Amino acid sequence: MPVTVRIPTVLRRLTGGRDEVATPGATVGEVFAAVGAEHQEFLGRITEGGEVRPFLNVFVNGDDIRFAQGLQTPVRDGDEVSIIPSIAGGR
Amino acid sequence: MTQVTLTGRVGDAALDHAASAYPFEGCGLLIGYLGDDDVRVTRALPCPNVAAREEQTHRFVIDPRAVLNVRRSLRNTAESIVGFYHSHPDAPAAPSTTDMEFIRLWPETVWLIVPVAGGESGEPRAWWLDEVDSPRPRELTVLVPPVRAAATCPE
Repeated sequence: MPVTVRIPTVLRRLTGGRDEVATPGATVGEVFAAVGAEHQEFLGRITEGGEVRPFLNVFVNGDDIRFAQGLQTPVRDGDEVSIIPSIAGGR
Repeated sequence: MTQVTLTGRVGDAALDHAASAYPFEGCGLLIGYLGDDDVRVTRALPCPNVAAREEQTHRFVIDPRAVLNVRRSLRNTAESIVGFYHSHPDAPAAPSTTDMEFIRLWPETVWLIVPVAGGESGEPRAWWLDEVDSPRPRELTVLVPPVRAAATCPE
């Protein structure tokens, strides 16, 4: 059972309109690389200099990877990786 | 998409929250149904403004974990997170430059802005970005149907 990556609306154009992609991988970075191998622009829009881009938040199941090992955070089959853009603003 | 309908007490809930947060910005999630031409909002879910306290008079931040958790709770239902609301204390209900940065990250999502002048909420306005590369969000018509009084038993 592969890892499921949930894609936000803003990035769905990069995954052919798909809102989730199932792919193998042992870390979040490997999973993103696998999605990127299938959808070329994906990786560049998610990561920058080996980090998740600002204003994007990545969770493995319910855990924010910033408080784990970032893109090196391990994942297991059946895990769910959610990408959630930041929600902010102000007058 | 042309309009957003705030059903039941949703409008009151968002406006009350905006007023009670004054002089800080109040914010929350909008839950409901996405139609072809209309977004029906069935619930306004207040969220803590997690921006730095000294910035909360002009800035809001919603913890993305709230989106994650609410999405999970709505899985296998017809409802979804259809948008966000936030207040503009002593400022008009139009997207600011800061708002625009984040609206661009959330296309096809309602951004409801409630102006609050001196602690009193005004008419909310709603905005919607059609696509990632749309030049600017469009304004949606905000409908607030009257809430029907509960039927009473005949005497």
